[in-house]
Amino acid sequence: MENIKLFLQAVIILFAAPILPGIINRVKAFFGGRQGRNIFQLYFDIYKLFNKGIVYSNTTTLIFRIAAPAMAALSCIAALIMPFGGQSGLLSFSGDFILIVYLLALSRFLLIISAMDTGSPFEGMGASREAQFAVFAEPVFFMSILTLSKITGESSVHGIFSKLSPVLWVENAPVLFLIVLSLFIVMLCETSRVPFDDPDTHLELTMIHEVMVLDNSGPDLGLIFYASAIKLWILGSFVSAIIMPRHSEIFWLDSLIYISGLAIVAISAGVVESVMARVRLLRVPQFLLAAFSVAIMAFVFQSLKG
Amino acid sequence: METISQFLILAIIFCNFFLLFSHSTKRLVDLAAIQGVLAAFLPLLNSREFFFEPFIFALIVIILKGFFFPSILKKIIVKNSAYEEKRREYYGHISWSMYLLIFFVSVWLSTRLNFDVETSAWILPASFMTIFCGFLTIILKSQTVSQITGYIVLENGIYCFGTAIFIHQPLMVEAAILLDIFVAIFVMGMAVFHIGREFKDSDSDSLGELREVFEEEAQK
Amino acid sequence: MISIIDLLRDCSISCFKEFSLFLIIMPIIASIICFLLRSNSQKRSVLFIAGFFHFLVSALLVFPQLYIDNISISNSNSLFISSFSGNVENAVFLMIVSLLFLGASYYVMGYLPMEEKNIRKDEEGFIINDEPETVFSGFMLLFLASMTLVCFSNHMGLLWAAIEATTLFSAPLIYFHRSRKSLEATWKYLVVCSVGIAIALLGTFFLSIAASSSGGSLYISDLYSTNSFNTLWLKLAFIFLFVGYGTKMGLSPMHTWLPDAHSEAPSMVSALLSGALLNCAFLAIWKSHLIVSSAGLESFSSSIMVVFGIFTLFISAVFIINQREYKRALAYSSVENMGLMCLLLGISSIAGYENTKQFIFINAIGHSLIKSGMFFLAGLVFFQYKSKKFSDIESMVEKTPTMSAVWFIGFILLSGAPPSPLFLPKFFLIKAFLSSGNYYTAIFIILAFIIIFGGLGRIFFSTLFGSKETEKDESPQLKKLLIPSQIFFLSSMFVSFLFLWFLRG
Repeated sequence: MENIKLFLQAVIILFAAPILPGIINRVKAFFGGRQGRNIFQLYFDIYKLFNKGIVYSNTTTLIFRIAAPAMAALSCIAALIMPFGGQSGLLSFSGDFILIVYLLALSRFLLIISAMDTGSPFEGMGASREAQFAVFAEPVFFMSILTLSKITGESSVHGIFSKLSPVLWVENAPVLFLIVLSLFIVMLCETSRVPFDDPDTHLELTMIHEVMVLDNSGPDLGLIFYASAIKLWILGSFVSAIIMPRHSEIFWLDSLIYISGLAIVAISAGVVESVMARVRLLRVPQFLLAAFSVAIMAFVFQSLKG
Repeated sequence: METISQFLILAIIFCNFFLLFSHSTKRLVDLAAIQGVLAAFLPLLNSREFFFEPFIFALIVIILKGFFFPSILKKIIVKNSAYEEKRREYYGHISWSMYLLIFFVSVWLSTRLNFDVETSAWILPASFMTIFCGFLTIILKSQTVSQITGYIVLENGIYCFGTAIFIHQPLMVEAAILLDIFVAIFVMGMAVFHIGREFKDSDSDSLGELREVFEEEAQK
Repeated sequence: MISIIDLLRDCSISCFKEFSLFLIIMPIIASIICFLLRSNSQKRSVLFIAGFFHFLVSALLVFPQLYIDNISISNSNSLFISSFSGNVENAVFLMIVSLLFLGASYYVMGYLPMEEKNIRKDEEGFIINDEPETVFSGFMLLFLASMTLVCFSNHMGLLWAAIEATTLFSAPLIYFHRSRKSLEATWKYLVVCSVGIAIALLGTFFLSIAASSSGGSLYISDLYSTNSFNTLWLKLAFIFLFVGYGTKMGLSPMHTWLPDAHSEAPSMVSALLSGALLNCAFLAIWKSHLIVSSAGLESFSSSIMVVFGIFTLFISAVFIINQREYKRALAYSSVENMGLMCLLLGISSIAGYENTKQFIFINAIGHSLIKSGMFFLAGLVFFQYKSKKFSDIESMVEKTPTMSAVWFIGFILLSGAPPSPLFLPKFFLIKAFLSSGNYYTAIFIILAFIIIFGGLGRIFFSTLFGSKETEKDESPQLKKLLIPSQIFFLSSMFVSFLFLWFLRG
């Protein structure tokens, strides 16, 4: 029974991930007074793309061909580590959040080199921006997770998530608040949301993530969309685990709380996208450094207390 | 109680943070006002018994720092058209690195001082940070109104520190600080008003005539 | 004869509190009267009368008590000191403040009417209009009241509040000649001194924490007798108090407001600032030093004061060399003397506290008298020659002979040549350093003194003589206004001889 549950939750994660971008788009449309796209639009887009043929440019090499599927595969492996509804993921061990970060970093690396492989200047520009943001965003993430593990005393993601409870909130509310803030900012940065990058822009000079995939087509593009949806799910579940700590032992109730937490995170991301404008490119490192100081403050304050 | 005071202290620290990064003088004045009001709530969380005096005193502080000073300063801003700070090249990086430096120094100072605080262990770093951020604001900003705002923030920090230290007799001390700020802001506001009338802008860069003049400059 | 002195002594001891309250409240009431009066001459007379009575009562209070050695009246738990025994420094500084204010108010009575009749233009051609005399006289009296409060306070918090009050009340006085430069000087003065006073407030808090084991009271008499200080907090408190009050006193590197403020203010205000205000800030530092020494950390505070004192001497020597304006040079000379006093207090741990105390007193008295006399003269020079730069002034000997004589004597006294009271402290300082083996420091200090003498001398000698043929142009009004400076210089020489006689006998 346990194994079936584990298998079931892996399947749910892998299949439910594309809803989150749909929720975000719907929220944006609501703020704009429109009806907007279908919530399941990403599924239809991926299905459509899978049924198309691929075009490879003459300047690309093997790297370009393997990058997109490798990205999707790496993201799926990272997703398998994430706990679901109080249960541990398929893979769970001490220090597994480092593996998640590095799997995502590897997939980002593959995206960057595949973008540079095409030889297009726009994509190279997007690749350099992506690399720069990653440099500033990763320390924030690490600092926040370190603080979390300091609060809960656990070192695996499943351990951290299971220790998070309303009682912990009562004791450590300000620190947890700071951690949520920094993790939320990291999530927005890594998944290329406003205020770091506007996903709806069609001007290449202002793109960061979208410009890197200009030359991908067909199933490759579909896999890349899918991979970014999984990334949103992974980063969002960190935030949702903190803001909606769950602790009944019932699998279905916990799963429901978990999914609704993710929905709340997606809705807030949508709200932030509708309310804020994109930050100037030169300001983005400062913004991320601000998030870094918030994370450091959380860490130091936690040490001061304990 | 402790959680609420921790949130207050966090909010005060965030005010410091935005203080270093703001470019609009009005926003600086608002931040100093918000910080003053938040700091006024801190002694209320200290007192175990409920006397009237802390409440009345907090009310006076809120009125002064939340309404009175900002309104004076904003009138001066409008009169002198001192809306924007000069945006200098190095601004963002210096602000961020100084903020982090201030943070570490304040935390280090507080750990060295071995002082048992009743509210929360964070109030000492927060008060030191506010004091240092007030200093930085006075030094780094170009408008004279911003320098007055920096002074208000400095006194906010001293107020927080006084709250942390004087658990038993906070009122005398806080009254002294408050009187000090009141009169000082009056006089400074008057001075800035005159500055605005004399010089066309109230940029303190134009207040640069009195300085040591050396031979090479004089012979030009 | 002796019975009259005894009578006065008993009177001043028993009515100490009433007299001290009178000295503080009377100027406040006089300032309110000034705000209500209409005509300028009335205000000036109120100023003078208030100054006169203030001087009278202070003299009555101070002089009979100077011969008392051992009367111990407990001072604890009262905001004001109850007697001058054990607080001789308060008495001396009170007398200085009072005397200087008297001189300044007499000067005002003659100077301001002269200025009213002669409207001047500043460098850019704008007519200088002075601020309303209501503000001026009112705030002068409030300034006097706050300085008196500093001399009478027995509580570190009250001391702090009084010094803050002096900052705020003297700011409008600097802005008397409404010009751009004086506005800039006022702004710098306000910002730098307010920040310094805020640091001193933090220091006061730290002091209270340091004394927390005995209740955390800040009454100075209590602090002297406290045995158990928290050493770390006490050291921190002294550093903050020293830096904060040192900003007000004019120690480097916090002296930056001083040359601007003292040169742009009108001369009577400059005289009061240099002669009285800096001393009050020094009083605060002195009290902190005494508190720290009573806890046994004398070497800590002494070393800090010696370092800052030497640095101040160095800075003043460097900056006085190339000055163009004589008032700024006088301001740097004030910085030098403040550094000197701080240095004297610092070496009191090596050279013996009782000995050094006398020399600090003579330095304070001498510096205040001479500097205020010089500033009065500088105002007259400015009025006569219409320029702040000494390169525009020439052949004073021919044009205004009496004034040039007083000017020259003042310069000799200021630079510390032997009839001057400023000679003995410098001599004592150098002797102390040499006898304790710090030869290099002594040489450094001697060099600094020589450089300062050279810098000042360059200014003064160039104004006195010249090649232009001018005729005598001295009005009797001018001669009348020379009287305060003459009296001050003569009395400083008299004080110096008195001190020598006292030292020998």
